[in-house]
Amino acid sequence: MSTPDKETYALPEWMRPWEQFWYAPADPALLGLIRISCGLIIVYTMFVYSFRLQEFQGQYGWHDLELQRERLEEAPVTTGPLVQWNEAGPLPTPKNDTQRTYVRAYRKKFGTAPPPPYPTSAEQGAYLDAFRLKHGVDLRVNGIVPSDEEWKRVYADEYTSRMRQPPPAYPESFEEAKEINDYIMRMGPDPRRLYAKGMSLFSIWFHVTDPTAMAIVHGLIIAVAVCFTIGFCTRISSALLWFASLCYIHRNPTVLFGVDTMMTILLFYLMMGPCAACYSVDRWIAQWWASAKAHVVAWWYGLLGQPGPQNLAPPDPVPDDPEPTISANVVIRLLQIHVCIIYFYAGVSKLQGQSWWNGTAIWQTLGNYEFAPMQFDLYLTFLKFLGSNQLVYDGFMTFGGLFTLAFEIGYAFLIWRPSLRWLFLAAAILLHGGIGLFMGLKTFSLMMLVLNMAFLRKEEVVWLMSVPTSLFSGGPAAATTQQTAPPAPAAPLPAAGVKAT
Amino acid sequence: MGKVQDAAAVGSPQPKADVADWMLANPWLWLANGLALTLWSWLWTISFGALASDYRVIVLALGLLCSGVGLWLRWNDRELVYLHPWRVPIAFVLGLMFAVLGIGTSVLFVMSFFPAFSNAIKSAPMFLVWLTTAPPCFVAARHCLNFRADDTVDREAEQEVGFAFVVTAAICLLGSFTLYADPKDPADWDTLRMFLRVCTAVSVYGSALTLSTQGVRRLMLGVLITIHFIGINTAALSAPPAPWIIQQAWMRFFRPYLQFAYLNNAYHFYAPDPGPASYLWFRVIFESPDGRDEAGLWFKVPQIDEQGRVQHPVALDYQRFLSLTEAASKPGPHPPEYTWNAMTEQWEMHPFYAKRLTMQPHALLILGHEKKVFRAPLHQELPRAHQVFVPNDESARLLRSYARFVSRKFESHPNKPDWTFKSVKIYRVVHWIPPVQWFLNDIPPTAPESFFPYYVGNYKADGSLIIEGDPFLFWLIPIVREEPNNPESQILDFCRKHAGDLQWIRRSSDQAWVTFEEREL
Repeated sequence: MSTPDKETYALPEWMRPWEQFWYAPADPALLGLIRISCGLIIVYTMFVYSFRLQEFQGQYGWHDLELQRERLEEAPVTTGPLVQWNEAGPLPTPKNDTQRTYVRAYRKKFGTAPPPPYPTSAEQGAYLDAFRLKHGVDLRVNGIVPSDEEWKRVYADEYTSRMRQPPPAYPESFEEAKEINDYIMRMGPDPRRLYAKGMSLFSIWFHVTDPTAMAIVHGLIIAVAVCFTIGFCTRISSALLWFASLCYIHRNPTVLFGVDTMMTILLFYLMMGPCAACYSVDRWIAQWWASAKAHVVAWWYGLLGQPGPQNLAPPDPVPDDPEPTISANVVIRLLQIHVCIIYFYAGVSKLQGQSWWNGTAIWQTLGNYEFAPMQFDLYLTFLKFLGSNQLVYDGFMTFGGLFTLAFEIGYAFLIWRPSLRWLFLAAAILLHGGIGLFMGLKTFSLMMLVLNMAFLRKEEVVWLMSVPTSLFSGGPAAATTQQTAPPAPAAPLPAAGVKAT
Repeated sequence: MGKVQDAAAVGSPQPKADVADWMLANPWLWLANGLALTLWSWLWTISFGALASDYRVIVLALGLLCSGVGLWLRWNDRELVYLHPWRVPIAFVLGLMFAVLGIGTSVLFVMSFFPAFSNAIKSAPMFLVWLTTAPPCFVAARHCLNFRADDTVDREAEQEVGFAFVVTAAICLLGSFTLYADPKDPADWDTLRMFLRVCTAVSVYGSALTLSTQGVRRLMLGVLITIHFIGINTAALSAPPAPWIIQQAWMRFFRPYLQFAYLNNAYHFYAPDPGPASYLWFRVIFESPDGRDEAGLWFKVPQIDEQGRVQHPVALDYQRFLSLTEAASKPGPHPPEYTWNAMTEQWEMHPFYAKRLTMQPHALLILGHEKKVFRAPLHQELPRAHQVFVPNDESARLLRSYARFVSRKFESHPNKPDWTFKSVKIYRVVHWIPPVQWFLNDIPPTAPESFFPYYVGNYKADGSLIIEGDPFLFWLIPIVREEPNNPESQILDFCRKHAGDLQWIRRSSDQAWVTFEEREL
């Protein structure tokens, strides 16, 4: 790595490694490849929604609007107290003998200090003791003040019997009590003990419910997905597609699986970066515009019958190789770190499971009828071959499990080492190829491989794109415009004045 | 049109000739169009109120699209300036706005600690807002208020980009009011109103970052990236079993942001253990017009035929149905098996278990005589605790929604149009993963006894559970071999029988499902 010029840094010296990691310009070709790959999968995913648009997104679908609106508006968010151990807080120091005696007696009876407040009378103290003996919990733990009114005592008693903990307060009216009870019946917790209610979701399908209008909007979304894939108006189409994909996800979370998660991650990052700076219609238009601007502008003003502008600004030059940009590097880094996080948690969470330790986990996926390709005789023959010999069977299952664990946990740490990068990328192809073939999760596997592309280098991107590029340019043209360059992470920071778009 | 870039006026080091661009390249034309369309849509809303047609949303969408194009053009072009004559007032307005925003977020953050405001303003998310917003706002304000008429063209163009962000934010904000047509219907376009308000905030923030110095911009981006990844980590760590502090961080700090962007996955794929897939079997019950007779029909998802062939058009559609069934398969707590009866002062079996145990036949083989009262044995190879599935609240709500869907799908019997929907019995079915020996012995993985159906209720068309005291509710209703150790014997599908399907016995000779009378003797 070359030492960057001192003037190119904007942060204090101790933050230079950080600055070098995030703000060194990177070639956007990689983002172009990722955009096309993930765009193709998204177009397919969106198209498949067409088969069941009403069933999955419609007002009267499986997960109907009534239910999702209830979640949107009323889903409970519970946290509990942040600083105190319970909502009542600590008991103040006793101020007189009565309080000291009460604390001693309470400790002796129940083994703990009582929650505040102190009872105001001996009768109230007896009531509190009886309450605790009956329900196994002190009336005051959730912050309620004991009352001498009969109806409040009845309320507290009935509430605690049902909820197995005392109420946080007495209702002020019958209507409030009914409202609280209705919420408990529907959602579970007491609404007075919530940190917040509802979820920060949005979707056009909450509001567009007419089947014809839905079909039109869905068609437009597929068109946007196509625009994104080919890189047309990509700054706009990428943001629109991110919004649109979340509309499907937020409206019906019950039909989601890994592919939707990965799709959102990719779209979220790609819309921030120059993902159309390479391999895109936008770039092709820019190249065409560089030579055709003067004619088109003259034609346009001719149509309007007006004179064209004097001293027309020249079109922006479009270099053969897109300029490395800081934003491309930021997006690539975000993707790289996120994919490491995904694998790390996927790996360590498996360590909780017995089957990953005893070597049976792989069979749980290979022998799963719903996912494995058991309609193919070849696959059944493969399973029989595995089962024909215990050593082969157990060796395969144990190695497969350990390989999965080692790959997923090791990825986050070792993919960064240049000498191990190819090993882990090859292992990713093996793992996700296996998942795609043996578990049927083809779109998910492809999306994970697209995420892994974040670790490709420029020359590998050029090599991967050489075939499709040559198809469009009529020959092996890609190599003529793309030069081998050092990998993105190794690029130095820009000289002062480099366009930082 | 395109503002002349005059070297003398803007203080560029190299004098340049005046240049201009054509009208469609002018970002302010697009932004002005966007504003006009949004304004039109808003006027439509306030003129007609609740009666305003939803077509106004199309006008708004076009307005937002135009604004997006304008912002994009302005962002891309850092060389031309268009609002040169207004550069000083724009700088002043932006400076003032960011100063107010910086002070405002600081005041709100302080206020959030006072009990009077703590319900409306939560300190935890407000801290993140303050941390990320106040510094760039103050720097942007200082930057704008220090603007001089002879500043460089770069800085003037940068200021225009910042202003374009602010105009876009204003358009988004106006758009959010446009969608609020009827105060009596707060749900009308409410989620998109929220989305537009978020867009407003993001645009203003984009403006502040654009107008900040490079050092502050990089620093704030660093803070945002750090917060973002801490949030992603808390989402992953907050899946149970989770430490208290992570749960607090997730709930109080990161939940709204990560839920909004759907970045809240825990990434626990196939963890802790890969498990079997779930099906949902619906037994739709129709009644005759006079209400005297009933007929049933099976509807199973995912759709797999008797030979085990997937009936979905593509794999992705099939996998979505597997997710749909899995979503309704989250277990809640079981009732305790024994409870203390204070009256008798004895431990007694909970009625949930006691009632089910009384519904066992005296012997597994009940083929000798069929009783009118439905009885089914417990599964002989599973512990009793594994024969109970009580859905948690979320799954229970989903099952009600699924029941509503099925009731609408089957409003009338496909073969008897005048027979109408009466109720639907739902079974959550676990398909056991067989050991490799099954494959070696050529036993099909779709053998009926590899399915474990749990009865989760009989639902009306409105999704309400019919409380009929069915002792089999939430219990496994087994599918077993007549002779457990004889793989050639008939199969007794008590689930079919429970659902009212008369063909509940599978003969071993021809693999046909037959009635009790047609069974092999």
